[in-house]
Amino acid sequence: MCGIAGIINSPEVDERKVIVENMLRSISYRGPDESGIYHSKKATIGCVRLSIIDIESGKQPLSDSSGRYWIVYNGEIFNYIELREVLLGKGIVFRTQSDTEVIVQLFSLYGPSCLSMLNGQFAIAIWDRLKDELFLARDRVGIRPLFYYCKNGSLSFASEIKALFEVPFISRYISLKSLKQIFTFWTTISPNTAFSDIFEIPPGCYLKISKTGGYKILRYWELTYEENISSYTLNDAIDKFHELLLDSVKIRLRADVPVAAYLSGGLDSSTMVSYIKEINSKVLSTFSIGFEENEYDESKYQDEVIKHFNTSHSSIKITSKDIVDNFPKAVWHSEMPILRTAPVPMYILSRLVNRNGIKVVITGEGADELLAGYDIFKETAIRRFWASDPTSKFRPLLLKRLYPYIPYINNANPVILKTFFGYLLEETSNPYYSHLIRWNNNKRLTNYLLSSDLHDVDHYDSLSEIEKNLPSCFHTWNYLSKAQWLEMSIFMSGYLLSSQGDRMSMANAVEGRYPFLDYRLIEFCNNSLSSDLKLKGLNEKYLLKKHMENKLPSSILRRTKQPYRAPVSEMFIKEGVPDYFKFVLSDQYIKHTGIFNQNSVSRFLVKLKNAASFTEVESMLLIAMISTQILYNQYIDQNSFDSNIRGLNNLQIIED
Amino acid sequence: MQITQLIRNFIIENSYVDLNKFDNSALIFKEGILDSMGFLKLITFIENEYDIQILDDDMKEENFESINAISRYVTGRRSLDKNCV
Repeated sequence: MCGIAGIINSPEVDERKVIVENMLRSISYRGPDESGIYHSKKATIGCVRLSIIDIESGKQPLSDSSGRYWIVYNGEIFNYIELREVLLGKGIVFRTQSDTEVIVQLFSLYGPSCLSMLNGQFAIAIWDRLKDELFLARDRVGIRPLFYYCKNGSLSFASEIKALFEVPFISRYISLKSLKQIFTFWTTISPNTAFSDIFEIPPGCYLKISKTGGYKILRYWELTYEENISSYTLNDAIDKFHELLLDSVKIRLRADVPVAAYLSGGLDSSTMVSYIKEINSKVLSTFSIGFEENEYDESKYQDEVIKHFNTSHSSIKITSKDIVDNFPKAVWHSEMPILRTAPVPMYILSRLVNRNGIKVVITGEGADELLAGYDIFKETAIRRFWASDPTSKFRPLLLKRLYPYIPYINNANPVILKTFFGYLLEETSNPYYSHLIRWNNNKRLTNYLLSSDLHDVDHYDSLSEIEKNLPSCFHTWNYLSKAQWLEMSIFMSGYLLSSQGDRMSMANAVEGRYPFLDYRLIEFCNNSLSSDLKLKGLNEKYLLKKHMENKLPSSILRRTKQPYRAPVSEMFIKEGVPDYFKFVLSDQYIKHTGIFNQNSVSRFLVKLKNAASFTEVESMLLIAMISTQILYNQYIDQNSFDSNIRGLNNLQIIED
Repeated sequence: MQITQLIRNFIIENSYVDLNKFDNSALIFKEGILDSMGFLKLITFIENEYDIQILDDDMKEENFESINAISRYVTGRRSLDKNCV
């Protein structure tokens, strides 16, 4: 687990070594244990390592036994032991016990098709010194990040964008088209990033660049659903699901360091703890956050699970002030405007984990996407039901059951429900039907706030970006599969696993592992589970709840879904908020970045200051605006932190 | 102040759209002039300003779809209430 960076085909050879060192330095928090660089006339690639498997000899960069291929990589290949056996059978001689060596040896035999054999989370860079070719690859769902910049035949890559900005010939611009995407979809649409000319390798893809500088991006895995889902019965499905999840957890416990778990008190993380205990009965360390505000706090449920499984638990209580104080740091790590404060507590949590000497945590992300846990799935089910009889007074009332904690929906009559949920109600054949309301709400306010000077983005339709990525058989899937695909490929890969996931945990050198995102389990859930095993009426994650019936305290199973939200926005414009926030929202600085319309922003802020409370959309746009201004300040005006940047530990340079 | 003007002012204050583009017959929700939260605030405003209770039965699209429609509804309710006294 690490941070990687490199440059190929750039002219100034000696300079390149220094630049790559700087790139690695800028992300050294990802890999505090040791570092290494491979440097040759055409390529310089390097790694800062967080040592987890084969601590002694698994140093990077590493080559295959012929010395032709050199690898730096960030991640884990959980089935490396089995793959190693296969290679040993073919006569390969290993020099280390690492998963890193397994990958490069596999690549030497099979080339890019080795990717289909890997079960893990990874960002890989392999340099072929015979052909002067670079190979970059990313895991199937984007758990580990990998960014690149390519111009004039020279390519630079890195685990994080801030490392790319250490390269003198890479300029920094915030992309306004990207902002429009972010404000609508909560993230950019792959391969875009918040910055112009900086791209990511899309999940499930790899890139090959040849010595002439020509490159292509190819896909080795696609998130897809069956048109006619072969129906397992509930019990058969539970058996198969259990078999897959058990193995998924088992292989993710492989490490030469202790493995802990996040425990939110919800069904998914409790399931993780249950499985870990089933495999390994020794005491498990668990971690969680609590909130000062009752509305967001889940401590009561966490305590039940802790007691039930007898875990050794550490928790930290987070106040609004904590969120405000850590917000700029979180933005700096996420490298993208954020629309809610949720990443900030995750950052604070991983810091707690790190201070407890833990490098690896198991966490429950992915279950909501795979088993239709989110409210948006229920919402779309109800809307479709309503759409088949649009004048019905009774059908829309079902929507109240979704949001019992929101009074103005609970007390609403059909006309009010129609204004909330009736947007394009009858356009059920629209491929984005499930997400229309969410995207439309954001779009309207975005258009209001963004500067009208931005002519090139005025008529830009961000939906066109999604269309480019839609799998060809998308239209053949049922409505739930479509909604799941949108949520998984956009929200999960683009935001949850990155801004709220990898970026926040790796900031404190903590590696997250996601058993629900084992590709075998993903494929099983997508292709073999009928919709009602996921969403039975309005009962979400039905299969998981039935499966865990006798394994978890009933209060956990019976809990209504409490989406993980973090306390929000009002505090950013209250009296007493730190000067930095007043500064980034000041007329002068709004004018300086030129992203937002000054008049609209003034009116918006006045309105918010006088409001008793903010709507969900207003909160999101306020936070989006603040984080965009901060991002500009940090990355474009280069007023950022140095405190987290350490030297490169145990730097080893391999000269070719 | 005329009912229509008062309602228009309220909507201008609470809308995230440039209202100069819209006349009083424009469809408030279809055009995105107010969103759902704005609508709720509008209901509260009307009830407080004109001291009437908007009945569930009156919650029909035709009563609230445009500034003119709202104006008609409020005028109608006020004269109704006067007659009942």
